[in-house]
Formats: sequence, C-alpha cells, structure tokens
Amino acid sequence: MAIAKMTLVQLTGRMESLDDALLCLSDAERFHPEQPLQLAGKVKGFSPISQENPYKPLLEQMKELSRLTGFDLKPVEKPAVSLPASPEEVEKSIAKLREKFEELAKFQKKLTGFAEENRQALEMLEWLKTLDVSIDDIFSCKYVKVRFGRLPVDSFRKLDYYADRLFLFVSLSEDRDYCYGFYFTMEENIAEIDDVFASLYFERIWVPQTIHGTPEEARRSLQQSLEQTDRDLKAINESLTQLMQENADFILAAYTRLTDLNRSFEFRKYVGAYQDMFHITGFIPSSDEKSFGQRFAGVKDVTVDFKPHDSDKRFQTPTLLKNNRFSRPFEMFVEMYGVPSYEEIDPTSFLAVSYTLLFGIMFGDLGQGIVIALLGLFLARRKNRAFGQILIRIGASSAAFGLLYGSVFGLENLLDPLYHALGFAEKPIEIMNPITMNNLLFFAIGMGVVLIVLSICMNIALGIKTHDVERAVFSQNGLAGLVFYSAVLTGVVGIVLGKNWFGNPVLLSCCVLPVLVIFLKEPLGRLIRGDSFLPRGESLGGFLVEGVFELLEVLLSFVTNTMSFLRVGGFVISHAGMMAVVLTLTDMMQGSGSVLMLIGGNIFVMALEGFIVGIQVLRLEFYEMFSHYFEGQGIPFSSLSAQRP
Amino acid sequence: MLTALSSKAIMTKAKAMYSRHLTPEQYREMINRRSVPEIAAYLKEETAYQELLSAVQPTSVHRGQLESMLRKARYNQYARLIHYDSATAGSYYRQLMGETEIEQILEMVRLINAGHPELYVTRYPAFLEHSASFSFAALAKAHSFQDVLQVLERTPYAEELRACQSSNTGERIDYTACEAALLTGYYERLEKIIDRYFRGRVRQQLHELLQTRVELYNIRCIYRVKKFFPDTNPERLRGMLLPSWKRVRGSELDALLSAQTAGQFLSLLNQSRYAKYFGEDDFLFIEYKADCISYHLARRYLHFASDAPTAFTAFMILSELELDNITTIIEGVRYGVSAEEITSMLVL
Repeated sequence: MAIAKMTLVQLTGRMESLDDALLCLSDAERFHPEQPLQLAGKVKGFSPISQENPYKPLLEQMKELSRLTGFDLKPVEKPAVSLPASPEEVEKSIAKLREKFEELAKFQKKLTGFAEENRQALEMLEWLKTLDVSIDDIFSCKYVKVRFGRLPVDSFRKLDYYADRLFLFVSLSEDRDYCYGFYFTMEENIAEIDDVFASLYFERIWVPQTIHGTPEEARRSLQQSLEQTDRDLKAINESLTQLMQENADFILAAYTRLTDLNRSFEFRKYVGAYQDMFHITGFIPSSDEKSFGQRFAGVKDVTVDFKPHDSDKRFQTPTLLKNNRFSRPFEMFVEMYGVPSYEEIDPTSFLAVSYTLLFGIMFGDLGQGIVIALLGLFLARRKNRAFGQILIRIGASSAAFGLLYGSVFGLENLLDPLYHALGFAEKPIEIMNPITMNNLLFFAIGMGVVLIVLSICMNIALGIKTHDVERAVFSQNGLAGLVFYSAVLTGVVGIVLGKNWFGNPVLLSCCVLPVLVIFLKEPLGRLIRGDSFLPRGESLGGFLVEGVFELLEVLLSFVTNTMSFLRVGGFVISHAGMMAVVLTLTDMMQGSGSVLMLIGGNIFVMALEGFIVGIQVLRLEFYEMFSHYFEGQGIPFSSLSAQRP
Repeated sequence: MLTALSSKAIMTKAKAMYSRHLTPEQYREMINRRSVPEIAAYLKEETAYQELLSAVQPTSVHRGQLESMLRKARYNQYARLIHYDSATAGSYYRQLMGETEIEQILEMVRLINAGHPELYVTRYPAFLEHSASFSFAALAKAHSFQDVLQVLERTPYAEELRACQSSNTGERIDYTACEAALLTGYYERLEKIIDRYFRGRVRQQLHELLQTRVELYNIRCIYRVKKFFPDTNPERLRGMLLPSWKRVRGSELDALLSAQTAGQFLSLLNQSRYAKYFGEDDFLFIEYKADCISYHLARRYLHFASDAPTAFTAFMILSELELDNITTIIEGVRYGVSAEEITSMLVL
C-alpha cells in the first residue's frame, strides 16, 4: 500500500541532439513529462517549442497509398533494409520511390479529385432535390443576381426583419443547423444584400461546373460519370499495388523510421527552448534513476540531472500507485474518487480488503459467488482486466461467506451434510432466524465502527506525517474526533448493557471537551501557526454562528456515518429474502418450469443484487471512509510511453 | 417522490455534463492553434462540442457564428437539465434564465445609445426566442427607449426600466441605471423564489452563490468607477450597486464608496473579508480575479452538491466561465496575442 517515490529529472542538451533524446525518452517505460508552459513567461527567453511536424505529411502520404492499394503498412522490429540516419535523407529516398509512383499517382490523384468533386456535387444535389427547374436557367439570369449557400436556422428566423429589403430567399432543404437555398436580388442591390446575408452568417456554396439541367438530370449524369471514374481508379490502384509489393521492404523500413520520428516529434510539446538549448522536465520513480540515466549515455551533449521531487515548487509531484497483486485491480475505484496526492496515504489496500469483505458479507452465497468469480475470470482474460480481477476477488469472498451462511444458489440446506461431517449440528449462521437478524445488525454497526475508527486513525497518521496539527489533533477526523467517538460509543454500549456510564466524569469530559476542540479547530490551528485567533475581517459573532451549525453537522455526521453501516446487515437479510422468494416461486412451478425459475431467479438476483451491493459498498467506501482521510487531489502519473500511438 | 427523483436526475446530469468540460490540457492545445478555423476544427474533433459543431465547416465558419453556436450549446445543456424539472413555470431553474433576457435588453440599450439599433437583429439568440418572456424579434425592431419599454410591457422589466426613462427624448439612456435596476429586480425575484421553495442547506448554499456574484459585481463596479471616474459622487456610485452585501457591513461599505482612488479602495478591501481573495498588487484585471472567486466557489459547490438547485446554479456559472475562456482564446488567437498572455487570462 504505497505511492512510488519520485525523482524530478531535468534533461538539458543542444537542439541538434533533441531528436535522439526524444527517441530515447519515448522508449522510457515510466517518465511523466511536465509542460514547459509552466516555466515559460517566468524565465525570459524560455519558450515552448512550436514547430510544424515535418514527418506527419510523409506518414500521411504513405498511409494514403497503403489505403488505396490495400498494402499492409505497419512498423517492423527489424527492417529488411537499412535507412539513412537523417530525416532529410529518408525524405530523399521516399521522394525517389515516389517518382516511380508519380505518373500513376498523378493520374490517380486527378481521378480521385474528379470523383470527390462528383461526390460533393451529388451531396449538393441533395440540398437542391426539391428544385424542379434547370440550374443553368437560374444562374443565367441577366438582371437578377443569385447566390446559393446555407444560412443558419437561427438567422433564417431573423429574415422577417429585412422584409423591406429587395431580396427573396428560397429555402430548398433544412437540417438541424442550416437552411440551404438561394437568395435573389437585383443587380444594383447585390452589394447591400450580400452584406445583410454576411451579417447573418450566410455561407456561400459554389455550384460546380459539372452540374447542369435540373437536379434530377444532373444527378443521373453525375452518377454515370462517377461509376466510370471508379472503374478507372480501380485499374490504377491495381497497378499501384503491384508497385508497392515490389518495393515492400523499403516502404516498411521507411514507415518504421518515420513512425518513430513522428512519435518523438509529437513529444516536442514537452520541450522548452532557451537559446540553442532544450530543456525537458519530468518525474520518474526513484528506483528507475540508474536505468534512466544509462538510457542517455550514448546521446551526445545531453545532461540528465536528478533532483528531489519537491525541489521545484512549480511542479506538483505526480502519484504512481504501487500495490500488491491482490489490491492492484482496486486502484480503479480509488481513481474514480480521485488520485491520492503524493503526500497522502494510498487507500487502495484498505479499500481492497474492506470492499472484498463487505461484498462477501452482503452477498454471501457459495454458488453465486463462484459464478461471479468465473465471470470475473472470463472478463479479465477478454475485456476489462481490472474489473474482471475485482469480480474474481469479491466472488471468492462471496463464496466463502456463502459457506458460513450455508447458502448455495439460494438453497439453504444443501451444505448440511458438509456441516454434519465437520461436526456441526447445523449451519454456523442461519440468516432468517430472528435472533441472527438482530445480531447481524449489531455486527454491521460494529464493523462500521471499526472501519470508521481505522479511517480516523489513518487521517491522524497522515496529519502527523504532514505536520498538520489541526488535521491530526483538532479536527473531527483527528484525535479530538476519535476521543469523542470512542467515548460516545462506550457510553452507548453501557446503555445497551443497562449501565449509565455517561455519568462517569471521565467519560463525560471525553465527550464534551473534544466537541469544544472541534468547534475551535480553526482558531486553534491558526494559533499554532502563529496567526491571529480569527482571520482578518471575520467577526466573532459570525464565527460562532457558523461554528455552531458546522458543529451540529459534524455531530450528526458521526451518527449517520455509523448508522449507514446498517445497510450491510440489511443487504444480507434482503439477499436471503430475495432468494427465498425465488425458491417459493420455484416450488410453485413444476418440471422444467421449476428449473428455469431457479436458474432465471438466480441470474436475476445475481445481476440486480450484485449490482446494488457493489454500488452500496462503494458508497460506504467513498462516503463513510474516504471522507475521513482521503482528499484525492493528486495528479496521476502519466507516462510518455502510454501516449505512443 | 417524482419531484425528488427529477431533482436527483438534474444533479447527476449536471455533474456528468461538467465532467465533459474542457480540461487545462485542451485549453493549452487550443491556445497553440494558429487561427480561428484551427480552433473550430479542434473543438469539432477533440471536445464534447463534437455533436453541436458536426455540421460546421471549420475553414469557413465566422468567429461570431462559432461563438454563437457555443452559446447555443450551453443553452441546450440547460434545456436538457430543466427538462427533468416537473415544477411549474415559475420554478427556480426557469427564473435563472432571466439573466439572459436582461443581457439582451442591455445589449439593445447599448446599441440605441451607440446609434445602431439595427445591429441587434444579427446578435440576438434566435434559439431562445420561444422560451423568453418577450419577443427578441420585436425588440430588434425597437429604435428608442420608448419602443423597448413597449416590447417589455408585459414583463417585470418594463416597470424596472421606467424609472430610468429620461424626460428628454433625445438624451442618452442611462445604461448603468438600467443595468442596476434590471439586475436588482432579477436578484430580488431570485432570492424570493429561493426563500419560497427551498429550506435548510440548499437555501443557504444558493444564497451564498448568488450573493457572492452580487458582491463581486459591486466590487468590480466600484473599482472601475474609482479607477476611471474618481470624481464620482459616492451617492451616485451607491445607486449603481446591487443592494446586497454579505461580507461587508454598512460602515465598511461607506468607507469603500468614499475611497478617493482605486488604490485606496483596494487597501480598504484588503481589510475586509475579501482580503484573502484579492491582493493589493494584482488588480490588472479585476474581472479576472472576481471570475476566479466565482469559479472556485462554483466548483466546490458542484463537487459537493447533494441537491439539484445548487448543482444547477454552480453548473451554470462554470459553463459561463468555460464559454468566456473559449472566447478569450478565440479572440486572443485572432488578434495575435501571445500564448502566455492568453493563458494568464483564462479562469482555470
């Protein structure tokens, strides 16, 4: 249950070595880069690098060619052909290859352009489909000026305002956002009307030269032309494919190299430039320092500096969770709430154990637990690994508690022979027994108390670790809260046992004094820090009124947090109750209907109850436990290698 | 029970919608774009505005059109949230939309004063026409203050603005008086609705959110007047303010109003409860600091909200600030402002 120790790393070098440095960096498994913008503006002359990626267009060209020819383009580990070192040389080699394709590619480009134009024209004809006159006639008007385009729907509603102007707008088609149509006006008014429509965000669309006649006639003509173009394109693509196959080795090698260069270029957004030097700042786990330094041993003019993680206050140390195999899948739940900050405690292990335990208690059934575990195994191998792993653990816990409750797919007596063999007269826990139900509820409260006390203790430990006296001692989640909570619980236990321990002066003072301390936590904290009792500008009256209401809320929250755990017992009982209903219905049916009801009922209960219990346990974790000690304001460790396309 | 369910639906949906707001990384990406079409393309392809901007051609979209579409996206979000509200028309959520109506009225007043009321027709949000309490299209046809009052006849705004009407027809409309009158009426109505419909913590939180906004408005107003019109009479200045102060008492307010210069005002402010929010030396953009306070307050309330009205109000504030950020970036890139300077103006 730990957060990996971090080291701040600064890479400095000459700009000429930047590409090599970035290539080495992109292979580093665990490096969290920081944005140079945090330093830019603060250091004169220091600015982030902003350049156009020269490799992207080359890559796009290669991908386009591969797409057209069906060539399988992918990076290879060991290219069959070796390429020149510099990107410029690589570009020259690609250019030579491109020459071979040039003739065919030129023709292909022309045909593709032509096909694209036709497609766009066909799309445009969709907007004009309600028009039943020739487009040539419309645009050949001598005294009337015509514009075709689209007007935002909101602007179309405003046209009434211009009712006194000399124009006519004809809407031919509409979609959610735009009206497509023509506007007509006299030649002498065109400038004014163009201005009006421009202010209404009218976008003019040029009708292609290829559209003639009515939209229907134009559509037929364009379709035929498009079909012919597609046939010609197919022939060209076949020739290109053959050419690609003949040069496959070089193409794959070039693609591999360009992919690496492109990837490393994308990382330039993390690079700051100062005169002719580059600077990259980031974090690595302290355990990786040696291997990280060795990575750059072969790169000329690059220095690697390791510093303590908190040596530069401009950067917040990211958090990399380090958990054992059992707890690791539960990091997903922790991150749902928030990432622990570097100085906080990682609650993953605590959550893993408590979640597994609580789920098992609330969903105890041997058969259903095994099914959930198997489902988890299936999911872990196929799809969502973390969630599947969680299901395996909670399924196993469920099965274990199912053994205690003696429940197998809702059948309460199936395990009786096992208990008898082990020497028990009956199952250890009979849920539906009224005495057991009462005890279950007490047990649930007791469990809640333990978990809450543990949460408070973790908060105290954290407060001590961060030297925050207010948090560790004076707050409701600190020592004061712990003493108060324990004292009240002791008194309540006494009442249950028929004794009035609240009369004891020690216990009473343990209840009252911490409340006062909690009430005064902020002023006491300020005094410890050497500040004034109250913040500047705040009145005593205001503080008292606010403090009373906050205190009431705090006291109430102790009660509600504790009582919230009653749901643990409640769900144990409700699960047993639901399965009892399923069994009753099963008994009412006969033959295969009975079997189907049992299976269907189990599936229904597993899905519904399992889902609800999962959420309720998570709710308990987040509201009743995390709220005591966990803030989750950290930044997740985001490795550069994870950003590889 | 239905009301309780719909209330939870609004709260949950507001939080879910907020999770799709732009992140600091996305803002940085936008700032690094070199033109408005590139920003439009980025918003279209990489952000939650994909659906709204799906029909937009980034290369041909106008800056004003883009900003209008983003505003429309914001109101669509509100509409989707209000959809779950099963209360009557006078409900809290619908009342919050009144601020937009006031913005439109003030826009028209500004244009009339500038002598260009005809420009309003290109600016008003037609997509809100059906849900407004008066017709924006009718307002677009107004040419004078009297016309505006006629359009607003059946709304509470008419009565509030009548007091600002000058006896001389040719005289400029007192814009600040109109703004103060309309916003005072708006916040008073809002507070009455809050007191009428809500209790306990919800009421307290909503008052906190709204009164903070009112106070920040007043602080900005006083600072601007002290900075640019230091000779303004304190009583005249008091008339421009909205009548609600939570953290500053009567005598303190008098002292603030009587400050001789903007610097003196800031020193006095530093001794009030706002001291921890405002520093003496970083007042280049008082709006910026005030927006930061609104942002952090709203974010805190949205994060911890367990009631729909609080979540909705906080969400509205945050959406407004996001839109302001995007507008800042669009205009910054458009006018060639450096990336560092644009970043310093974003409320994050």
